[in-house]
This record gives sequence, structure tokens and C-alpha cells, in this order.
Amino acid sequence: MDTLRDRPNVILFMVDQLAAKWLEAAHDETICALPNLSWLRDNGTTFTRTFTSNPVCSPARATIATGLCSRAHGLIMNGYALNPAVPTFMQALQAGGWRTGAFGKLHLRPHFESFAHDYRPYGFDVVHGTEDDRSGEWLDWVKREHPDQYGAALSTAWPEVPGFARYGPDRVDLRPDIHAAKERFPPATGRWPESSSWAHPLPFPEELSQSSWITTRALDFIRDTGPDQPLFAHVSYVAPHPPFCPPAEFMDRVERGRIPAPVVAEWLHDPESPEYFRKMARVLNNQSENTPVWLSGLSITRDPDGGPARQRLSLGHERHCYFADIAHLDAQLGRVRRALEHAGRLDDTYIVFTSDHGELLGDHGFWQKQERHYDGGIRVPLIIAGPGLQKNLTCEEIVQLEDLCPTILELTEVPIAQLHFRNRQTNTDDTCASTSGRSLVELCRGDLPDHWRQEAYVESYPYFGPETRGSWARTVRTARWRYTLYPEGNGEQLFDLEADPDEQRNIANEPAHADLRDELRDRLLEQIIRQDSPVPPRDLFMFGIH
Amino acid sequence: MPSDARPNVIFFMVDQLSARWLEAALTGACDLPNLQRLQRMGVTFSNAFANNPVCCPARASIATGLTSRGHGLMSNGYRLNPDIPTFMRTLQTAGWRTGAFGKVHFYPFDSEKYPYPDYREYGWDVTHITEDNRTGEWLDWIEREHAEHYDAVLATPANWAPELPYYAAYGERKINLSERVRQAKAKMSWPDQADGGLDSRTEGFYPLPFPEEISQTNWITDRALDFIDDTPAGQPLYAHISYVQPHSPFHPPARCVAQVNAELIPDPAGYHTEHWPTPEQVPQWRYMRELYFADLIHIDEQLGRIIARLEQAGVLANTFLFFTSDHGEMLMDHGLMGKSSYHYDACIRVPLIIAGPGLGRHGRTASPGATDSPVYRDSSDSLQPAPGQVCDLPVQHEDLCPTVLDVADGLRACHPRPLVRPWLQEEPQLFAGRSLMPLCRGEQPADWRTSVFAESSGALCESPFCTQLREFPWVRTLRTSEFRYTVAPGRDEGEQLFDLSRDPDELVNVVSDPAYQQARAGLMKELMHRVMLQDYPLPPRDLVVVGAH
Repeated sequence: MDTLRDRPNVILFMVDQLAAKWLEAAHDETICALPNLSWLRDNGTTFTRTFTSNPVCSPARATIATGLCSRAHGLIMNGYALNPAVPTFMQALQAGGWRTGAFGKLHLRPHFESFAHDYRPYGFDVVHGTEDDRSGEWLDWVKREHPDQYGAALSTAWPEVPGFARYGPDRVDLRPDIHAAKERFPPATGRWPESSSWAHPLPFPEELSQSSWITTRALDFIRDTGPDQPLFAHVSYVAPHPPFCPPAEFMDRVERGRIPAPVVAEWLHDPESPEYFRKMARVLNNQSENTPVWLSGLSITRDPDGGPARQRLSLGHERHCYFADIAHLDAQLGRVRRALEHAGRLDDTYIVFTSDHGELLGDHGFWQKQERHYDGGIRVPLIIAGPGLQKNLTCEEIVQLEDLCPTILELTEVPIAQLHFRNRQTNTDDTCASTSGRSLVELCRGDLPDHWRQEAYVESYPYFGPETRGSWARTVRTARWRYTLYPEGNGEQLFDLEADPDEQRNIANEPAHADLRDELRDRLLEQIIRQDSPVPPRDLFMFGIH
Repeated sequence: MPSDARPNVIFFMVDQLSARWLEAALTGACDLPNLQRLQRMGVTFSNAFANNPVCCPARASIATGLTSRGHGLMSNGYRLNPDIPTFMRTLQTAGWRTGAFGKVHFYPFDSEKYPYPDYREYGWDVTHITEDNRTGEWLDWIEREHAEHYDAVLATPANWAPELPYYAAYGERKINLSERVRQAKAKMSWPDQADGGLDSRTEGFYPLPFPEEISQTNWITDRALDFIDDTPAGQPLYAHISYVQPHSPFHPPARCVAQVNAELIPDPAGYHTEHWPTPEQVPQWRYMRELYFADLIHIDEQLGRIIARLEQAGVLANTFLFFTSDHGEMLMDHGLMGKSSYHYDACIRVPLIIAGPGLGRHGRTASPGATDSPVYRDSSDSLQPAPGQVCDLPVQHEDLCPTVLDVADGLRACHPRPLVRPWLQEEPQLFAGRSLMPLCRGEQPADWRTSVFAESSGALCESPFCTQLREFPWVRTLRTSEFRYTVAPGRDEGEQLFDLSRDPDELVNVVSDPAYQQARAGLMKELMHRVMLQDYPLPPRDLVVVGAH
């Protein structure tokens, strides 16, 4: 039997909708203290150019699990379910003898399908799930253990998710109770009059918060795993995904005055902005005042007197709540760290910290992520720390979420899934690796592998908005440039991130940059085609045959 | 519903027939009276293209109306997921009696489904399957009913077939069919010019070494005729009649070879240029091409048998007939054989004829000076050669599924659609293709596409002569009325641009010619948009709900 040191533990500590930009701001502007993330940074490699290849929950999470791009694993958009036949690194670890557990949000299947997803076929021994809709085990636990706080907890649920109409084993229609709870616990309070359903402190104690509950389940798992067995824990929070709802006491840990103001919505007044953006502005003018923010995705308001649309620049409260959630998540990382220490596992554990995609948080006049491929939407945090890796290292190479699966498998020395094909040159059966990503382990040791990628590729397939197909953005992001194309004549963006880090001046149509734009367009086409290589594994029997 | 409201559908399909070679045959190389009659009965599409010119993906696109990205078969080797809606299933649901005869090829021959694949899960009531692997029902029938020809039949599978896993222990008796095939091939004495498939460079070409009455082709037709006979009066039928010929190996009845006017077969594109291989590579290539054309005569006769039976049954006037192929065959154009990544005209442009009630009276005629022909005629004047209607708008295989669903009112509403989040106003689009029915009626929609897209993502390159593309078969093509533009990522030498108006044989790659840089930039941009939108509408596999978390 190998020693535990040969079979190290892995913690994938994941948050939802955290842009690298905001974590950097929290640190650089000392908006809030994040002692545990600082500890992790000091003990590992911080990747400053990590990109999600599809900035929305399910596709990005499936990419992390499989090492495949959206085209290959099939989740090009929320609403798809990951086919359990597509190999995941969790399955590989499980087969290799690791005890595997998932705590919190997985979102490998749609919330609209069910509240009671069985995620075990994806490679987990133990699952304690609770996701964006604020239902499932966490809600049931509050009802059972803290009935006095159940109404408050229920007030944070998403009643439009169909499962609430037939909730639990008794198939109760919970929607009337949720609406009543929302009446009883209005977001705006005397202390926080600016609160809205989009951003408000939690109306119940921190110990009952979904984030805290997720951590507690993970700590139980760490404690209950036998000392001779390696473990993999996917500790995955819904926060700081909107609505932004931190525990109230964490509001006090944020220096509100240091939070930057939103970046200007440059496209609103730029005649060269993509046609797609201008369509969005027109749609806004046709929307009622009551269009929910989660639907429009815009932090732009109409002028009530019919004048031009204006960007909301007073987002202090929303950002305050968002940063308070980051501080709360840092505290959760501290709990996990101490539990590993207590179990005697900390020195044999790799910790990977990342997020599925970013949050624009009002920058450029947008909330959320999706097809607006600004820095706050596509660049995510990534820190990797553990035995044998460099400490306090910063890596500026371009990496993508596809790289995490091969990285974890290399760290644990578990083999990666292979595709089978008939090699017609040698007329023999052959195999090749089935991942789109590359392991980051050499980078974590301070080495640069040969032919490392020079650009990231990002794509979006939203099914909302003013024009579905026109919004299917495709981006190449190099160290210096970000080039985005919206199909069918919906325009282009090109930003020089060195000279213009806030992406204020779109130079896609400037004659002086035409050659650069054409070159990036060429590279984009190549990247788009390469998304299908290696061939997608779903429904694949063997390739290269009749 | 009155019977007229639910017309019969005959999908008459061949394998590996280029539009280019059918056109050459129709200009004199072969007499194809039944295909000519079909043209008069309907509309011939002169710019129909495979979006992925290899068997499984093309056939899946025809069945589903989706791109390769949409149905998931990027190349051969994939299985079509039976959860994806097909037009067969929808016809079946709406009350049609559905049958498949011959080649379906929705999953790889190597898979565990063989040698007796059950394609009924895709929406057929009755199936009689026999495919390139030359096993299953037809072979068993030969053994049972025509044992004296069994070894001759076993001499005809392509060389890759005996390597299929199930060949080692075939059927209930677990016989070693691989060994039997090897022995049969060794025993066979091939005519002088024939290549019996023993040469690994081709899959073989020779006159059929057994009577045509028991050929796979005839057997497929026989099963379809039985199906037509057995369908109760009053029930609409849909028969998918799908031949393996003229896919290689080329082995038409000898009688048909004698009927080919070999001197009227055009020279291959690139003949006498530097593209042409040295003579010793395929010394018998002219004879090989004659055999390919001879197969068209045999196929045409099968079409005649089907039409005659529909006429006898009195249902021809209420029947839509579709004729197409999954992809083309290079047949030595540019010195190449096969299809896949060679996106030349002979590979990607396929024949397409749609005939049926009410069609063919509109549009323009095929050749200048021809009189406008009332196309739907009875058999008495079918021998009068008269051109039918021709549509030259660019169409693709994805268009066929929505077209079939347009043969009767209400059919499209029977096609399954995804669950959509309630607040989404937009009706989700179901197909990558568009119905051709308006085009069949002579309409020219102003927003019709102006180019076609073709892609190859596979390792299946069959050419014995050209190893160049073998290394990068990941090609994407845009073809307009003027140009064919192809890129292969990562390889500068993989980019091709042909000016079809000046160079219809695609001999001069002008991609580096300064005079074409503006055209190239425009094509590249359009190609990029087409590549991007291959995923539209959202692929249905594993899709639970559109537009929701």
C-alpha cells in the first residue's frame, strides 16, 4: 500500500461568480481582510491570467470536471445535463481509491430538472448538495434544526424554479410559503435601507447560512475519512453569486469607502460599439421599469423623461454586500484549513481555489457574466498550493479551466481517460488523451512547459436577450489584447489591455489596428475549429472507423 | 384525415454518388430513364451539399435536420443518440407505416450492435438491413436460398470488413467469417482488368461475380416492394430505400458495364497536370470509373421497379419521392479516391431530386430552349425526354428533415421540441436546415442562404494516393456560387481558395494571389460565422430545458 504522501488529498475549494479582478481589488485596495486566501497565496502559485472558456455556471463546472471544452462535454449553456458517461477526474480519483465528496453547488445538471439530483454517478461517494435556488438539504436542515429561522431561510429561495411547486417527498407546493416569507422579511431594513432583493444581508444568523452549512458538511467528511484513505473534497459555495446576501456581521468587515466605482459603460456612447450592444440598449428602452435585474443583466436605467439611458454609478451597497460575501468565504477557507490541520492532513493536501466565471458587478453597465467578455466576466481567480509545489509564486501564463482536470490527475498520479481509435496508418487500435486542457503542475514548480498557449479562448451561447444568435460571442484573449466577435454582423471589440486595462476604447474599427484585428480574427477562427479536437466523447464508440 | 392529406414518402438513397458523376451520366455516359423521369416529376437541386461528407454524419443530418454539432456525429465512429428527434419517428407517430431497407449506418460497424443492428429505435416499424459490411439478413438469405453463390458473395466485402470484431464468430453458429472471406477472395478468378480488392489501394472494382437477381441491391428493392405491397390501403407509408452502391467496392452486373458509353465519361479533374498520380499507381483507373457508372444503370433500374409498383398500386400520384446520396466520391478527380476531407466538388456536392404531388410546375427549366414541362405526368409519356425543373439555390442535407415534415399539414407540430423556460417568448428553432418545399414550388425566398458549409473532423481518409491531407483532416469549407474556400487549422498549406467561375475543376489554388485577398477576407469572415453557428439551434442531446438555470 502506498503511503498517504504518495496519494495526496485534494480540496477543490470553489466559489461562484468571483472575478479575479474583485479578489485583486480586495487585496490591493485593502477593502477587506482575507487572511486565509493570503495564507493560500503565500503557500502556492497564483495564476493571474486564468480564463473560463464559457462564462456561465454549468458549462464552466463541466469543463473543470472533465478537462473538456464546452463543445466536447456538450454543456454549451445552462439547461444541459452532463452525460455521466463523459469521464471526470472525480471518477478517476474514486477508481484510484480516493474517498470523494461534494458539498454545496455542483450544477452539472439544471436546477429546473430537479432539486434532488443524484450526483454520485459523476464520481462522488458522498454528496450534500444545495444550490442557487436555496433548497434541498440545507433548507430541510434549517427547518428541522432551527424551525424558528425557517421562514427567514425560505425568504431567500427562488420560487420560479419549478421544483418548489412539488417540493420534497410529500410534493408540497412551497411557493405560497416562499412568497409569504418574502413579505415577512423584506430586504430593506432600518440598518440597510438600500437593500433590495438583489443585494441584502441575510435575515438569519451566520451559523445557519448556506455557506457555513456547506463547510460544516465538508468538515464532517474530512473528519470521517479513515486515516489511511486519501480524500477528495469538492467544497463549492453558491456565494458570491447574486443575489448578494452575506451574513449581516460580515458587512462590518468591509471598508466601503475603498470600493472602486463602476467602470464606465463606454459602449453606451460609442458609435463604433458592437451592434449587439446597441440592440441591448434598445431592448432596455422597451422594458418596463419592473424588469428584474437578473433578467436584463443591465445596471443601466432609462431616463424617466424619455432621455438617453444612464448607467447606474451608485452601486456602493451591492458591491458592499459582494465584498462581505468574499470575507465570509475567506472565513470558510480558514475552517477547512484548520480541519485539515486537525486531521493531520494539511501537509499532504493540495488545495485548488477557483471560480466558474466572473461578475461584472456594474462595470460597463452590466451585472453578471455571459456574453459580455470584459475582464470582470471572463478572468477568474486560481491558486494552487500543496506539497512539492513552489510557494508564493505568481504565474502570468495563460491558463484555462480545462487545465484543472489534468492538473489534479497529475498531482495525484491517477491516469487520465483515453479515447480509442483505429489508427489507419498502422492499422492498429490506438488511444489518445481525451482532454482539451494541459496540466499546470510544471508551472506550479516554476517551470515553463514547451509551446505553452499564447491565447485563451472564451465562448458564450446565451439563450436570452435581444437577439439570441447575435449574442453568441467568441473571444481570443492574449496577454495584451482582447478580441471578441459577435456573429451575423453584430460587431467586434478589440481592447489593448496594457494601455487600457478598463477596456474603455474599442479599437476594432480603427484603421491603424486593422492588421492586428485581422490576425486576431484568424487566430479566433483557428481556436473555434480546434474546440472540436480532441473529438467529443459523448456517443463516441471509437473514431477513425467506418 | 383523407388519404390525400397524408401522402406516401419514398426516400430513395444511394451511397457515395456525386452530383458531378450523375450529371456526367445524364449527359450521355449512361442511359438513366427512371432518374430522368423523376427529374420531370419534380425539382432537381443543382447545388445540394453534404455538410459532413462521410456516411454516418451525413445520414444523421438527413434524419434530424441538424448539423454535425447538433446531432453529435462529428465523423464516423459515433452512434446517433436515439433520443434525438428524427423525421422517421415523427412520421411514425403521425400514423405513417415506416420501413428501412438496406443501409442506415447510424452507428459504427465495429460496435456491438452488429451484425444484426436494430434500427427500429429511430422510428421504423419494419427494417431489413444490409450495409457495407455485407453481412446480416442479406448474407444469411444467400446462404439459405442460394448456397451455390455464397462463396462468390463472400469474395466481395471490402478488405476492412473481415477485420470487424464480429466477423471472427459470426452468427448463431459462430463461424469464422474472416477466414472464409479470405479463402473466397483467394479462390475467385477476377477478369483481366479487375482489381478484386486484394490490392489495398482501393476497395476493389470488378463485375458482380454472381447473378444480379440475388445482388444486395436487388434484395434491398425486393424488401421495399414487399413493404409497399403489405401496407394496408388507406395507411400512408414511408420507405427508406437505401443502397450501398455505388460505394466502393464497385461491382455492377456485367450487363450494365456493357451499356456504359465509356468515351463520354469526362476525364478526371487534374488529369495531365502535376496533380495527377503516376500511371502505375492505378493502372486500371479508366476501367474502375466505367464500373462506377455501370452501377448507376443498375440503381436506375431499381428506381424504375419502385415507381412501377407505386403506379400499379395506384398511389404514385400521392407519393413524394426523394432521391439523394450521403456524399460524393472523388473517383480520381485530382488523383484522389473516397471523400471526407477532400472538399472538392466531387466530394461535397450531392444529387438531390424531390418529386411529388403539385411539384414541378413552377421554376425554370433545366436547359435553355426547353419548353416548360408540366412535370407530373403518368407513365404513358414518361419515355419522352424532357427536362424537369431545376433549382440552383444552395441547399444542404439538413434541409431534408424539415422538408419531409412539410409533406402534410400538422406534421411539423408532431416533431418533439425542447422544454423552454416559461418567460422565453421565442419559439425555439428546431432545425439547422430549412424546408425546401417553397423552393420545390418555384419560390425564391429573399432570405435564402447564399453559401453552404461543409466540415470534416475525422481520421477516415481513404485515399491511397494523397497523404497530404491525411495529417490534418480537420477542415472547414464555405462554398458560394463563385468560390470554394477551405481552411485546415494549424497548417498554412491547408488553406484553399478556388475561383469556381474561372476554374470549375478547382485546379489553381489562388489563396496567396494578391488579386483574391479581398475575396478571401470576406469568405474567411463568412466561414467564421458559419462555424460559430453550427451549434444553432441548441443541440438536443442532454438538453433538459432551454434558457434556464
